[in-house]
Amino acid sequence: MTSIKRMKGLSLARPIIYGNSATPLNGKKGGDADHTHRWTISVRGVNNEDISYFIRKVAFKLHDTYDNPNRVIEKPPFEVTETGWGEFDIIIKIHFNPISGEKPLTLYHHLKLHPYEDDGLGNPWPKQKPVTSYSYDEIVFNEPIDSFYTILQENTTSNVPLKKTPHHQFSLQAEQEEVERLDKALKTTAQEIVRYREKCKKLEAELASK
Amino acid sequence: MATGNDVREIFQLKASDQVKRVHKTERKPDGISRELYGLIGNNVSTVAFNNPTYKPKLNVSKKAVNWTWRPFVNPSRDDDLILHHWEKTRTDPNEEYRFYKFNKSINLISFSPEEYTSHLKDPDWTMEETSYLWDLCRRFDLRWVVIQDRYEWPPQEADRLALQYYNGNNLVITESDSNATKKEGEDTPMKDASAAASGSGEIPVKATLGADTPTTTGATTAATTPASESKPTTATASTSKAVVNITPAKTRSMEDLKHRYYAINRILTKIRMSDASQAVEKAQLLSSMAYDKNREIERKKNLEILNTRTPEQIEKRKKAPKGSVQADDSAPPTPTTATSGGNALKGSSSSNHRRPSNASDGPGGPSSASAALPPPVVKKEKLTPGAYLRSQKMTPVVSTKQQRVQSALVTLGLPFKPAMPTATVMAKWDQVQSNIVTLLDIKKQADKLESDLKVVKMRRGSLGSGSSGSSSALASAAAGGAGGSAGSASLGTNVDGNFGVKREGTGDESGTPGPVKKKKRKE
Repeated sequence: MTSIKRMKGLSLARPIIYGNSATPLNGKKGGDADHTHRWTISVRGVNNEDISYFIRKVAFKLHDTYDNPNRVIEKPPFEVTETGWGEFDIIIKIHFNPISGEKPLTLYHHLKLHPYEDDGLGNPWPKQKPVTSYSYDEIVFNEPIDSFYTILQENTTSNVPLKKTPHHQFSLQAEQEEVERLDKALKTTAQEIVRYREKCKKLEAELASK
Repeated sequence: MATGNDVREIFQLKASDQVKRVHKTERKPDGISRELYGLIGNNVSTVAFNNPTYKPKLNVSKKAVNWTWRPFVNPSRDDDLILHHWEKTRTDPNEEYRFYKFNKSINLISFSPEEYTSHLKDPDWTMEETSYLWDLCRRFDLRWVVIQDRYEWPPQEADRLALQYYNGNNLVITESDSNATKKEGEDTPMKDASAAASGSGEIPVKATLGADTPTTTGATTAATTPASESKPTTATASTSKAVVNITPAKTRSMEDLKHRYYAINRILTKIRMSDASQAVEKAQLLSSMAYDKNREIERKKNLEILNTRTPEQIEKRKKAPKGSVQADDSAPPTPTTATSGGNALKGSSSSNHRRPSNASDGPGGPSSASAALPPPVVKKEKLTPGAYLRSQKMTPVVSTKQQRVQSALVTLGLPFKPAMPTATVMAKWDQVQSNIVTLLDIKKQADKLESDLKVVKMRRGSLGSGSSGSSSALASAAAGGAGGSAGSASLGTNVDGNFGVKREGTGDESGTPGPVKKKKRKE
């Protein structure tokens, strides 16, 4: 085993977007009750950038009723397209570039086929519009091996897009909004904590006097 | 008991030829005792043998060292005393006495009488007393505790000797004795000063009785006044009486002494280093001699307060957040002391008070209630190597509390996990989580207190009203307790915007035993 030197104290993150998109199939082409939707589950980088420099392959474990439920995709785009009728949990196992020496990472994604909400305009979801469910996440490499680190450095990730658009669900704007929400929650909780502390003190004093 | 033969009979087996002789012990080993044979003989029982531990063998390889009886001088001495001791022959006889280097002494600045009269005068101090202080400082190496303890001005030594002498000889029968003054022995005696005149110049002979108004003597050596038989009172004793006047020693506090010492040092430094080239050095020296008497007194007083805190006060300190001012805070706000040591000591002692009380509080009260408001993000100094998904590394919540936390999140309008888990978002998320947990704990505590209070009130009320009323009231309080914890599962906002757990029947705080209001809130 070669000497593995890890970069102490260093931590790098790479954002990914994973999830699925599904369109309903018209009854015609083999569209029996078993294949009401065509869906694609994918793992990609933000802005569709290349992630194959640190991801070696992605293994999607589909529902057992599918043939070959273990679909392993070894080159980009890391996605699987299938047809079916039901929603189920897909186990996504990301195998990293072997230079990284990292164990494969497991993600879970619930396949979404049916729209649960209206499209924001008060109308029910239009029939042909694809239903999507994507999640943003960041893969953090703690103390990467130095050779892997250089690879990561060479391929810096492009930033998440600035604004929220119909195409880009995850943007800096979205992040900012989240931060603001959290800040508001922080403030509220802090206030409540103070309030309740005061209350406690008062009650304690009262109790002590009795 | 069945023997082998019996068994064989039962099974109708032939008698076996091989009869195993089980364990035939040898009898009577010859020549040695039985016990000894059992230990070291043929059939030794398998018991562990504990090797006896002897003293380690003496190492005689080293050669004997020669020692000589040598005279030596100690340079620390100011006389020419020559002592002897054993020394290894091989050491150098001319070597310096090994303990000489430990005889360090303080460099005291000393003043001359001219300097004193021109710069160092002080209304409260005479030159003699100042010289006395200097002498003490030199003798005791500026150890203030000792100096203050030994400090006695005007010196009472001679008076003490006189007292001893006279008391011992029982020569005194005086008028004041018959008056039965209540003073202690040291102060009351009237002595025959004539005998005491030996050696002590400071026994003034006073005309009046020594009890009430001792007048100060000149601190200087009074001329040995031989016993003037002044004012003899009714002389019932053979000797004439005179009063030994004890001047009471002026008590000076340590701050007093230090103040005088440092003041003189500062003045002398200023005078002697008036040269501009020494300005820096002078400034340094001056700063090292900055002594503020009042501040020191304050500081020591505060330390004393800290030291004598009752356990209740420690508890109070612990429960409240660090920034708040306590109601019982009797310590006046202290200005920043010149001595930084004082501050550090105060800070550490107060935190020391807090830390052990926190540790001891363990399973008891809601210790998390005393935690500070949102703790800062933990520094990632410990990085475990590996790859992980950021959204998966959230600080886990205790499963028992998870439901409540989730309802709190709902109330706050937050999803159960963040939509875009970036580093900042996750950091804030952790903060919010911990805040929520803290808040829930405090709320629980508040509710407990409320219910306790209610119970107490009920009990008080029950002394007046009937027992049935109190029992129903108690029941309502108890039901409130049970319902409150169940109702809190669904955190809804109340009319008054109350956050989270709402007790049932909090409306009737008056404690009147009314109908139990069971408000089940459904969300």
